[in-house]
Amino acid sequence: MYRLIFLKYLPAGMIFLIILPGCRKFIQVDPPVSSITSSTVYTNNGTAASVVTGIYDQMEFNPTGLSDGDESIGYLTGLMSDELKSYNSSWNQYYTNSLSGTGTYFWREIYNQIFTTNAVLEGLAGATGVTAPMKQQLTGEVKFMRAFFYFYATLLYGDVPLATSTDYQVNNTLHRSPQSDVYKLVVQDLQDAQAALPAGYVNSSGAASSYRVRPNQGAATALLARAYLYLKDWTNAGDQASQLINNTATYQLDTSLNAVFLGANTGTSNKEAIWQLQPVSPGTNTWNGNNYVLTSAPGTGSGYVAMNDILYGAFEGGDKRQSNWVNSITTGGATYYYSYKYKIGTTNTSNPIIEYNMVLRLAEQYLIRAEAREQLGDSTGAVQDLNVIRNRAGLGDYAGPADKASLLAAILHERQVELFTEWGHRWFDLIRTGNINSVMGSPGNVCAAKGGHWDPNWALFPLPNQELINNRNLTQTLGY
Amino acid sequence: MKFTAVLLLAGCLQLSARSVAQITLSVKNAPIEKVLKEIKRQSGLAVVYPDALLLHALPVSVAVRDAPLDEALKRVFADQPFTYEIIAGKIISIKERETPVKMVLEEAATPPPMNIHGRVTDSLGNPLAGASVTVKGSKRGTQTNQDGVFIIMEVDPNAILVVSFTGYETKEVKLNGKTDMYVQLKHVAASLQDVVINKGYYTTTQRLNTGDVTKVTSADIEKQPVSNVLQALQGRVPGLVITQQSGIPGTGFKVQIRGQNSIGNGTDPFYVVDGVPYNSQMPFGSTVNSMINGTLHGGNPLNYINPYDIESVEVLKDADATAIYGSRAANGAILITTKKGKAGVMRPEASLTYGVTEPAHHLPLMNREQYLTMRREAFKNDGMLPKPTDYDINGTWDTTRYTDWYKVLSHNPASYLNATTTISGGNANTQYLLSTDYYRQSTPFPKLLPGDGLDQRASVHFNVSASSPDNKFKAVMSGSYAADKNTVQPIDFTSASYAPDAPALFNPDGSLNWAPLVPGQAGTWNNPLSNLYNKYHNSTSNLVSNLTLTYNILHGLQANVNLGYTNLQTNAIQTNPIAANDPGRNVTSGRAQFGESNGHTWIIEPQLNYNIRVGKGTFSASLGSTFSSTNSSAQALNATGFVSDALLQNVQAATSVTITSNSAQYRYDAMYALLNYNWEDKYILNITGRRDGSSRFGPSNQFANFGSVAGAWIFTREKWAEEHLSFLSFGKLRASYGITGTQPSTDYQYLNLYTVTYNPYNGTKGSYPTSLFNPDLAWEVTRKLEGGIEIGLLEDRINVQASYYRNRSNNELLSMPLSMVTGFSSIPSNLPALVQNKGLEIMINTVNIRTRDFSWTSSFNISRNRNKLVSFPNLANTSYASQFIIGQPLNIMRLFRYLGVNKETGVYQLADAKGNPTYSPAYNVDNNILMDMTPGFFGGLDNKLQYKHFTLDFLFQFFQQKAENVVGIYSGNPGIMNNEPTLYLDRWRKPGDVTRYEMFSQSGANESYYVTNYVSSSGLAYGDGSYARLKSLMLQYELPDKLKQKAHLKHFQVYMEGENLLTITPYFGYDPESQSNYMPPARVWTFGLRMGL
Repeated sequence: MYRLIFLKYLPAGMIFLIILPGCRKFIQVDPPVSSITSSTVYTNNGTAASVVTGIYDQMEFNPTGLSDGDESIGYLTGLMSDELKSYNSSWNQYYTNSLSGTGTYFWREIYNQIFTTNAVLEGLAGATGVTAPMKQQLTGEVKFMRAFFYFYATLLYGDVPLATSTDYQVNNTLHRSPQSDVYKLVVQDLQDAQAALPAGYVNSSGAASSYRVRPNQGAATALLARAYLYLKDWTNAGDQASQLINNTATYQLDTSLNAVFLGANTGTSNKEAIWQLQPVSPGTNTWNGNNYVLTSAPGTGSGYVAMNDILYGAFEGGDKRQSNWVNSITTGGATYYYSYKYKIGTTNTSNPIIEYNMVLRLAEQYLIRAEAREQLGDSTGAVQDLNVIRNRAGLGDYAGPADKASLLAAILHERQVELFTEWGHRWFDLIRTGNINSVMGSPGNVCAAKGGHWDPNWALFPLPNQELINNRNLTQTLGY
Repeated sequence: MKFTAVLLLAGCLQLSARSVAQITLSVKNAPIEKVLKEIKRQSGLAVVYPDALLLHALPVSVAVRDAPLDEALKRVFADQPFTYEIIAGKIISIKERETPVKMVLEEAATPPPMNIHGRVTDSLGNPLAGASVTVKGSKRGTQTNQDGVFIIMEVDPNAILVVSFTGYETKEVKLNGKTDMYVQLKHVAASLQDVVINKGYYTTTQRLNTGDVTKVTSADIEKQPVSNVLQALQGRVPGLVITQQSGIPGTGFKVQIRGQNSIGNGTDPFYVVDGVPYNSQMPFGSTVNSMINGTLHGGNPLNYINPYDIESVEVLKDADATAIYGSRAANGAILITTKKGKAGVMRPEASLTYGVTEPAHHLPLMNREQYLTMRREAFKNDGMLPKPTDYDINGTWDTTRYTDWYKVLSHNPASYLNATTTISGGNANTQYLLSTDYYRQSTPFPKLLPGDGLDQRASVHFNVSASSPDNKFKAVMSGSYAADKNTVQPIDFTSASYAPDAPALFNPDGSLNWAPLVPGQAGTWNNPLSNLYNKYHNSTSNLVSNLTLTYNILHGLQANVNLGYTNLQTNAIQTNPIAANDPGRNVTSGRAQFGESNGHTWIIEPQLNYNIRVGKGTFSASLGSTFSSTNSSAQALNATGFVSDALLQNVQAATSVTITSNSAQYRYDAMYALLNYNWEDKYILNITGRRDGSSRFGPSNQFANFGSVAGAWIFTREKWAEEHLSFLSFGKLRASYGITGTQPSTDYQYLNLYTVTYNPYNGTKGSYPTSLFNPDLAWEVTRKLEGGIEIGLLEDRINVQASYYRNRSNNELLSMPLSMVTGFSSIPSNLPALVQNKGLEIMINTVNIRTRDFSWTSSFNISRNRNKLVSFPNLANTSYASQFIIGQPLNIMRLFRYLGVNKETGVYQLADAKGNPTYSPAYNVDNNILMDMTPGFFGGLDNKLQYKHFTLDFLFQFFQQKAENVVGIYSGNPGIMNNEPTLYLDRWRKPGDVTRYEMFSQSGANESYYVTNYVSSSGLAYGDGSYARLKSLMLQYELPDKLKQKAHLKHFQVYMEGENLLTITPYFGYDPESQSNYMPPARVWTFGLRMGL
């Protein structure tokens, strides 16, 4: 009897099993335990925050990344402008201003990071397991980061494609968007970030932190001030800078020049720092220090660049920045100067990490406001701000002519000696102020001195040639 | 015992049967119980009988339509030893016959016995010597003599003679009083046509097969002293190329069936062991095996299946055979079936094989004088004097010393051992087989301890089949477990090129000699034996188990389910102790690498089968499904900083540990259907279809359809063929077309994964996306077209099978370049590149001689495959641009044109794109000579000779191909402090010399030194790599029957077996098969005996 029942239901059971494979559920698999997928990342605070942490980590991990070291924006644009002198033929294309589409430059890294910011924004939008405060913080951070990378993208390349999603099919066919649209996104993202981010500094779990290694509201304000400056929106630039300058409880210039590039909370409170990146390779402080500090003649192993004579000669007598932020080595009868903002060049696992890669600091805000005030006709205010920076460097008050052109030139000069080798300020200032052709191109000027020649189109970078092949909608930068 | 058909009429007929009792039956050789049941059903009458009575029942064959009950019963009981009686019109009672015994006695008693003589021939009239002639029902019998003649004394005139001969149909002849017999036996084509072919979800015969399947059986596998069944397949299967990566036991294999279909996903076929999918590569082999002991080249999962447990291997090639495996079998499928028990008394068997192994060949290197001449000449050519570090020639080392390093390091005694025991037996309903095996092989490298340099495997295998008495229900369970311990040295000394005057290995006190200049300081050489302190230990266990349940629901309808589980686990450790280092170098810490991997798969496959006669043919259909899941994981630890060698096995003692870990889950389900229609064994149509779902496909492409259509026409069954093509004993044309696929080779390729950052940032670890989400990721599609002809000539003494195929693969799984604006520069994607493989395969089996004492059969196969990249849109913009050329094979080499040695300067010359001589040509510009590395043709020739009790079997394997030779493989400039192959002695010495090789040089003093980099990509470094190899040889002696009977043995064989015995090749290098400087496949010579009780 039992067997008969078995027999009766067997075919039905078999047919059920045979028809079943139509269902998708069976072939849904768990992701590998060694990695996570986007579907699991945004299910809790910890993993969601880790992706944003990953952005900062990646910026500092890579010794050849855009943030820090010998392929950073500061280093390479320093070679292209009048800040550095090359002792390595590999840098010739930068040093002699002869870029070509064979390099990928910062393009790959910028858009890889922009992808991450878009992925986080998309992930958080549908996230249910991430708490509201964390969602707000992370949204603020990645909006800030997206603005940061697009800001640099447009500074380097002019019109750039605006990828605002992770859909590769869309992003693979984008045209370049006009620079004005890029700025629009940058300003919008920064305003969103300003609204979303806390005024104080927090860590990856949202708790208050004495480190300044994750962007906060101040960082958004600082970058917004700079963006307005580049947009020649002087009122807003000055207002944003004022917010930071007036917030003396959090931000103050450090009286000791040698402490400016130390990490906040590493034996100093460093209130000048608005946003720093913490080095992540054990035993190595900044890659900048690693590459600028010379312990032998440049090109012989310790480093491959020295300071350009033009920059060294730009300091006024008695400028403490020249004695504190510039150092030299004399070898083989020659003296080489080098950028000494970061002082630790050696790598040793027992080295404590005390120097952090400075991204945004208060001194720049004074100079932004000085320029904005001058442009709005407030020369008194402009000189006041200028003098704050001069005085900190041991120089007396500005005593030059008070006409607008002279004052603007003075501010530009002050930026040159204050912000040198930091994040390409010099190169982008030359472009922004329209001085690039006269500085680089006039006969006997910078470019000729470096052994190259100048084309006004070369202020912008070329796109990697492969990009034009892979996306036919992209066009090469004019002049390449 | 088989119903060919039972025709059941509708229920209304049954109702009328109650009164009129009209019976309709059509059965052939059916059990009487079934027939009675049917009569009972149709008539409504009860049937009663004593159980014991029916034990003597004969099978019933009856065909009646609407017959009265009585007549039907009469017909059914006509030949039975019992009869029936209808009681009261309601009960059929079965009872014994009253007279039959008496009648038989009477008949037996009457005629007197007589003497019979006769002659046995084949159908052509040739006498068959040694045919067996027995009297049915008795133990009496004899054998035919040389002329096919036999005599049997005193035989009952009504007796039946049974005449049989191996390879021929057995015939029963009724004497009917005749004393002179002439018996013709029909040859059963050895019976190639009747060989049962396993096609995965169903079986067929070679005769009725619509697809292309090559079967290799245990008979061929068992006579080769191999450790991996793949070695035993080499040279035996048309279209199959198996390359052993090295001769070290436990090494990896490359397997390719009919060329390379996939550009980026390898050529591994789909393996199935007893119905359970089996790994083609070790789970995460790159993480564990390769990282730890590179000499094993990743290993191979089939190393953990005992080849002697294998009953047969079926290699499935065309669409008809492979489409049923859907997205997994574009590269063909290899089905492995393990041994099963056979009904009969218990049969214990044991065998022992022992032998020696050595590298199959070696490359002769220079002796001391030649070496020293080379060195001195090199310095002279360079215009330089030996430096203080040129110890071999500057007086530091004793130049009168001579060591043949090949002999010392690569030619030590090595052995092969295999011991098996098997017990099998059973009865009609239950059969069993239990076997054990122990295998051990050592390397020819020096050993520090007796346990070093060994690959050992112990395995057990069982198979049990059981069926219910009515054969309705059947269960087959099988399992194999193997435990393998591999301790081969993590170094391959084959290419060791120490100077022949290098110092002695040992100091007088027995310690390693490092020959320091100043005692206590660093030595002047790396003592090769120090490598032996680096220990490797790999424990791998493998379980393959399977249970198949079959239930015959109704006549013609059957359900079965196949359940399987496999588990492959590896633990490996390699230690690099302080002791392996020169004490003069003050190394104070050791290293160890630990690796483990684990992969397990389960599968459930329910299936329904239905058979029915339709018209003059048989229609069969199957419907089934598959659920399968594979989980694999691996972990590798690299631990450094051990201060004591004693603590190397303990990870805790390391100061620094880095961990690499991997895991993957793979799920697969499918639904499949098979339809087959066979019209009188003349026309056969076979249709297969499969719908696959795989976790390796992107979410929008998780399901895919595959299928095939095939037909076969056995034209020798046509009347006209019987008349006009009578020389053909068999002829079949077949054709197939279908679609199969290739899955992505690794899991998760479509997923957008995040990986954890290496270092923490401000106290917490970050993560970052590593790949794009690609929901569209799909399978590669291979469309296979094949036509074949199979013919048998001279009564199937010659069998020829030829197939032509064309496989075209597209939708290739490759990385598609993307604009970096997407965040990544490429994405795993299906590109419309089209790869074509077409070729011809011929297999010829012949029975050359067959007499009573001597027979000789041959099997020959030859294959040719042409590979071509038909199209690859946008190739120039992909990372594959420098590797592939449209219109050329995938494995094309781009070489520099070689212009020979400049007579005046003595330096190699290459041509640039314009043909001008140069020493420094440019890659991708000047390397325009194309060389196709695909074998031109390849195959094998197997001969079996049997004379009385001796059997000789030898297999030749051959390849016509181009190969990279020693100039490319053996790096380094002749002239530096490395010994070199003697072929470099043909070098340039003075202006005017015309030589094959350039002058010796030991430094970058002139172009001759640098040009060698380019020459290794020129015509000088590539050349003929064709070879013919005596792959295996077996000579066996079977004890004569009389002696066996005395010793109470069923069989007793002694044999000698050899593997890779002889290679004939114009190739300059170690081995044309592996084309590398790894240890060539081992030559094995063994002696063994096998006996069975």
